[in-house]
Amino acid sequence: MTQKQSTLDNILIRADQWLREAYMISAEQLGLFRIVFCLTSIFVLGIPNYLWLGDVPGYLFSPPLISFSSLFNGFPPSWFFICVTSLLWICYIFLLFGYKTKLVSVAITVLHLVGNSFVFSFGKIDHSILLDILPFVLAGSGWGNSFSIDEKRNEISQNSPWTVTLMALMVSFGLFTAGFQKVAGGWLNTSVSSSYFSFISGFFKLDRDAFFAPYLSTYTNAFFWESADYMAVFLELLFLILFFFPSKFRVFLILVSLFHLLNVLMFNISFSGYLLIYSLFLFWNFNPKKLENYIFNLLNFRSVAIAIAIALSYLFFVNSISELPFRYRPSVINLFVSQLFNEYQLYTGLIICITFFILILRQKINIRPVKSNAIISED
Amino acid sequence: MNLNKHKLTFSFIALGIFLIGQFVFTIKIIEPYPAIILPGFGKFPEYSENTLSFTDFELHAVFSDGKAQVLQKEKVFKEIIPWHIPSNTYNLLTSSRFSETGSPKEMRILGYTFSIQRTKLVGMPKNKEAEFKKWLLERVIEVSESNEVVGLNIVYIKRTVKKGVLINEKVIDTKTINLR
Repeated sequence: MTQKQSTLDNILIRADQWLREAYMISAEQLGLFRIVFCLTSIFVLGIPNYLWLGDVPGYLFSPPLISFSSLFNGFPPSWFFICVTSLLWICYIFLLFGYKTKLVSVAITVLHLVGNSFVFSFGKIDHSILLDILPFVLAGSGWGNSFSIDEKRNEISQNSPWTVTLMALMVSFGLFTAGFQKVAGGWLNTSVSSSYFSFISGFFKLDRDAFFAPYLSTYTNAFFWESADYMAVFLELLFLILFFFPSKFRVFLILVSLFHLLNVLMFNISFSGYLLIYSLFLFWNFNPKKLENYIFNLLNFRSVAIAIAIALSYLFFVNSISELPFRYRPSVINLFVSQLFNEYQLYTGLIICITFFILILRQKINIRPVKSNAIISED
Repeated sequence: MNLNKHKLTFSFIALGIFLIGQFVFTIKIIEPYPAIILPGFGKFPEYSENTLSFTDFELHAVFSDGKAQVLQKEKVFKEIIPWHIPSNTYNLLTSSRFSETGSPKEMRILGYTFSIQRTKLVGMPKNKEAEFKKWLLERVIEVSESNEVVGLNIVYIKRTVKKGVLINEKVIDTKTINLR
């Protein structure tokens, strides 16, 4: 082997090791993350409901040219959406209890992508993609190896810690694309603040007038708004570099979370579901033993069957009353929050942001490893 | 060099190239679904003398006596997610639907010119158009609470704001869908 080959080999060995260990977290945290992900999806964010697509006239069908729905010449019949939606709910319940975790993780992403390709068949694509692909990316992470029925049945799969690194790459790249599009679209022009323009058009066109919005609509300080323009672009572009520096990546995740909170309060735009994803890369401070006792009492066939029955009854009840938030992403919390879609999104967004920061302030979520239950990363 | 031995690193490199490729494809040609893309909101605003302008649209029911009534968009297309209504309404007006106002974007790739339509506009048979107009008529009658409806106007309005206050509204275009 020549010296050149040996150097290259050494670099590749170090790269392999870095990819495996850079974002490594404990199996217990992954298991707990799986449970929190499912509970947040069911109770707060809502699991998508595709049943309403069965009522839409076929004439409005205009899918993205490159998508699964593009293979069709119109919306499929109602039974198709009943199957996709019911299967999605069942898969979430299985994932919550950690039953056939690998299989249902892949199934959840596939069902999301199939259903969403029809939701986005009115000429607009929404960008919930990171939440949709998360179960697929983590399918091989071993997130079903703790606090799960799989663990009780000794059906533990091999851990692939690099899957968390892969998710970090997706988040970094996603944020980078947002920053890049801003720069390419003239966001940083100095004649007028693009943030202010976005804010004003949302305020008048989409009635985004809650929280701080009424006070900000007349606040035209150029320095304030231009700073907001540059801050947003700087943060988003920086993430592609931060991916290679996990400890700094985690610090900036907190800053971006603050940015999301300000977005909710000022612009009334909620991307707060992403805070759930960010929490995957941070270190959770909890007592695995205490939690294990509590969770293992719930893990049995009877609990899963009852949960599936409740979830499906809830889904069909929701569809029958046809109120806006219920139709698209029914969650338990929207029974109590609001019937209006924008308000529902805003308040749930605010709840997630506040919960996230309370957990950080109480040091339940940390940017540094917690000795008791996390594996120290090497960056 | 043993590719198998370092397949994790090479897989990440391949994925990185794929991510860049799909992003370039999105910004240059068309956004596929799925794609790892987050929204940029990067639109250059129309700006002059401390005023900002943006375009919005309204739906108006047109009655047999020539009068019109503004309708709540979210009620007319109550099945559709509210922020999908503008693109949906635009699609109704593009080439293969009710009028000839829309035209595909032309792109040059490797010296060849391609017509790129952002979405697949399915060529609808005439009976489907009639079926949809019947559905739309029923919906407009329901929202306007009048049986005298003969059509639906899609009215594009330019709104101008100065220091957070709406100072001007101007109709810049109107498209009509005849429903009888």
